[in-house]
Amino acid sequence: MRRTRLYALVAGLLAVVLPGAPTVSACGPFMTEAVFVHTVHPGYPMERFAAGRLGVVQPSYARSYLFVAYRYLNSSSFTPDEQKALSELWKDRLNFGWTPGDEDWIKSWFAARRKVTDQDPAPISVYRSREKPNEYEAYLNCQKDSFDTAIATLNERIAKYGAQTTAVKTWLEAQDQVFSNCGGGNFIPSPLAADADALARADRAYQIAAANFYAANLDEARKGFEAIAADSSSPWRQNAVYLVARALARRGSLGPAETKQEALGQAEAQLQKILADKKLSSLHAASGRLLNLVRLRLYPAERLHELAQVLTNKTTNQNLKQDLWDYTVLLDSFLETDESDESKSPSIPKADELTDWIATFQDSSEQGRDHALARWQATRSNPWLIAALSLNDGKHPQASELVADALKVKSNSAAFASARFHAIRFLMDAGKNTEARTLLDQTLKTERAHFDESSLNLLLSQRMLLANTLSEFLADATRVPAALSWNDDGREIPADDAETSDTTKSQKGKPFFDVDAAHALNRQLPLSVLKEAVKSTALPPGPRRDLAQATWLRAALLGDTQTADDLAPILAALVPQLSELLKVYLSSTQPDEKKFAAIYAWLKTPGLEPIVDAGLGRETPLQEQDPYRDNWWCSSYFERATAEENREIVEFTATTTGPPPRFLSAAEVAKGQREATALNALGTAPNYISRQVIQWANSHPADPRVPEALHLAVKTTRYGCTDKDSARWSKAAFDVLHNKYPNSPWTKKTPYWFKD
Amino acid sequence: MRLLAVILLLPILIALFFTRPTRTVESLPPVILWAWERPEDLSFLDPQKTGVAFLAKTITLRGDNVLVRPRLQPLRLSPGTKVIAVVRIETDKPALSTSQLQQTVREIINSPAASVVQIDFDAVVSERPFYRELLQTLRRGLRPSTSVSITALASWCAGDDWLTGLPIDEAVPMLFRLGVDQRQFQRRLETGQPFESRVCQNAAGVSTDEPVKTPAVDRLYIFSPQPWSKQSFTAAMETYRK
Repeated sequence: MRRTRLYALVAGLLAVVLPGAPTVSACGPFMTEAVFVHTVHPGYPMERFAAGRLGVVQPSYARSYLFVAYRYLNSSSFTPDEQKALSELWKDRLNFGWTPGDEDWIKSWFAARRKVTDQDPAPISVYRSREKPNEYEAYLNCQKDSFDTAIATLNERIAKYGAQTTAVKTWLEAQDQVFSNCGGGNFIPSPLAADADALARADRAYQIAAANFYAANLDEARKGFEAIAADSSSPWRQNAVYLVARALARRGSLGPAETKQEALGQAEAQLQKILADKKLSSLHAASGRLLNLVRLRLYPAERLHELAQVLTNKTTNQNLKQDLWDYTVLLDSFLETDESDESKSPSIPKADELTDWIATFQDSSEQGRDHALARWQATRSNPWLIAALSLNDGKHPQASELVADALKVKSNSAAFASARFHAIRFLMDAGKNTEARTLLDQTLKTERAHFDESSLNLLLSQRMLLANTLSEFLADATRVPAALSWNDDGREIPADDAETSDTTKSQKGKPFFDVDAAHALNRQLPLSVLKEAVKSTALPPGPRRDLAQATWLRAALLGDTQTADDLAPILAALVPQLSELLKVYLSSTQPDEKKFAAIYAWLKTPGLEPIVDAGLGRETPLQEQDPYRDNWWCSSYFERATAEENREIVEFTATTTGPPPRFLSAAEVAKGQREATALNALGTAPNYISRQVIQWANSHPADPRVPEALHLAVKTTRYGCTDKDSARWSKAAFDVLHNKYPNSPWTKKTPYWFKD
Repeated sequence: MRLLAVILLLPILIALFFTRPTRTVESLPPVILWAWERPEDLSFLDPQKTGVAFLAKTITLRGDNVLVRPRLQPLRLSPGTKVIAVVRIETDKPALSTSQLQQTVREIINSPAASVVQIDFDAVVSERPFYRELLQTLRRGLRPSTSVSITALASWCAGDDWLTGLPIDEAVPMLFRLGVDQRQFQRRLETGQPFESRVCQNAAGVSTDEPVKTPAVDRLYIFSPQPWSKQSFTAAMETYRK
């Protein structure tokens, strides 16, 4: 239930740091998967979380969610507008296809131009490379306001002079030059003659300064804007005051490293001057925003602290989205530095409570755990209670005290779901299973509404582990996924219906085994218990069918003919297309006949596996070959590492490291382990099947099923899960088929054996 | 007479030999780090031993539009580091029109530092004709010395081979995030069996969080789900040196 990991968080952080940035796309084949518990962000719709319905807060959530959790845990809230801003921020960050909307800006500009000329200019790219040796990134050079200003000016000049006048055409020609710098180059319009119209000269001066700005001639741009600001007759003088600051700020970003601080300092001074001047009030909003950016670069630690103060202030924040954006970008830069490089590892400024809480909540080190406990003891506040609970377990000396505090959290508190989940977890850790079970049942009975899909699945996983009987175990072994997601990039975003198969669509809202249940069924429950599970109707139809197939095949392969016989009629009822093959199995009397009947049935049913699938499982119909070789089975299932990786940030999900279910006797546990070991010893399906078929062919050469079985055995070595020995078995089956049955139609259908 | 023919032809043969374009991919270091869209400071790398394939731009084919987003995150390298410009192509209900193809090719050709370009795409079967044509048009548009690399699903290199015959210098089978194919390919890698498709035999792509036994290749591309650091680079080298 508790594990730590980093990579999912990193995916979330990527979204935080890089809004709109694509991440490496997993190299498929792409399959939808069941997300039972969200770990990098809360479940959809995000509006629910923004409104304070937090569910169980995962330390592995990206930090913007943790900020929101912190506010609600502290009994604070957000206005509807603020909630909307939060949802927009998350949407932007999770949408890797995000663009600033540049295509629309350019379209609008081109549309405005067409009032003057039908001829469009060369395409405009708004991004410009930094054009420095050994640096490869671009930056958004021409922003929306550039195009808005150009469109407004063009319209005004058309109104004043007329669309087809030389004045307008000359202005437009120069403006095209200005925008041609957006994507690269150095195209500066010429100054107008001294006797030209005053407005035209003012426009041209502004265009020259703007062209220099976009061409990254930032000193020239600044000088140009300063001159315009000083020209009391220029209609651009106010804008120019602000653009001086922009030129300086940009120099602070793009200029030589040694002058960056100086340029940013000058930009800060210029912006403060504007903000102090009431006559420039029209520039105050933009200047305030730019000043925030400049300060973020000049004083990151101070700015982080400032933003934390603003974000935790209970008065309405009109700038919440940007403030939270800046805060989390800064916080990420502090928390995601390379610890191996001391020169790049600034200490995390914990001067404010919010930053301290987020950093500690994600710190699973001993220091983090102790700090969370100390803060909880000092404050007795909900945020620190949840942090202390999340980072510790029920064996801690202060566990009872923590549980007592957790149980005091009222159901109308945003902390309730987290507090209750951890209280149950602590009781389980301490072996107080009856108490845990009582609390869990009471919670599920009366407080279920406080748990979203992910949080509910966490409780059901706990309940499964606390089951006293097989029926109770089965009742909670399947859960409805919180989302079906492609999740090839760790973003856990629900798959769009338009992009999913009909099979996947039909699986929405249906229950499946999570990994903890599949692990118990595949590796811990003995056949005697599995048989009862199949007979029970406690499982929903899909998982019961999966379990029936797995148990029958497992029994047949392990030679438990009694169990296989008992289950065959049930399996036939659940999977009618297996009826004929199962009849043959039932009518066989000798163990070796039964074994071959099972092998033959398996050969003809590539979707059969002696294990159940966790999650959605195989999509291809049972009797068809899966194009991605998910056919028969891989014994490597048992070889997969179950130990979780050494991760740094805690998350709570179902795991495969739990003890055997409590209702199993010691003898049943031992039997389950022996059977799992025996199953694993059979080896990967193609080799095992080929060996069995060849043996049967040698002992029963006249069996009419043999040529087909040999043909299919060769196919398993092509479409099944193979290993280094598979080629040998492929050739062996091929040779028997060709040598002993040269005239069989199955032989003609088997022209090759397979090295892979 | 034969000798005379040889003497006469020799200068032509020599000239032909020396004018054969030397593709840059052949001179790349044996290890290439993928630097994805996030701030990366890789100035600690030894340019002689390690190159960098950086995400230079992402092209999204949406409807009949081509949306281009260049790299916006900083990347710092030592002078002399061999670089590959990676262009990621994403699709969103694409028209896959001729104009999209031409614009995409133009964008790839105009990639920064493009002596080697690597195209990263997920071609579903219905999109393959488009990508085939794109790669052919791209090859015609690039200088002969510019190499074309593509990332490839492992399945494209084994069995589902649609790469043979494409005008590319290498395909890099991605040996991570393999989904249900993982078991299959892990087995394959353990046996050391090379991929059938010849264009897939010179390079392989791995990730730091999914160590695999790597095939014998000239170039190993390594992805890290976290920003690279000296520490993670050293750890990756220790893993894959084995």
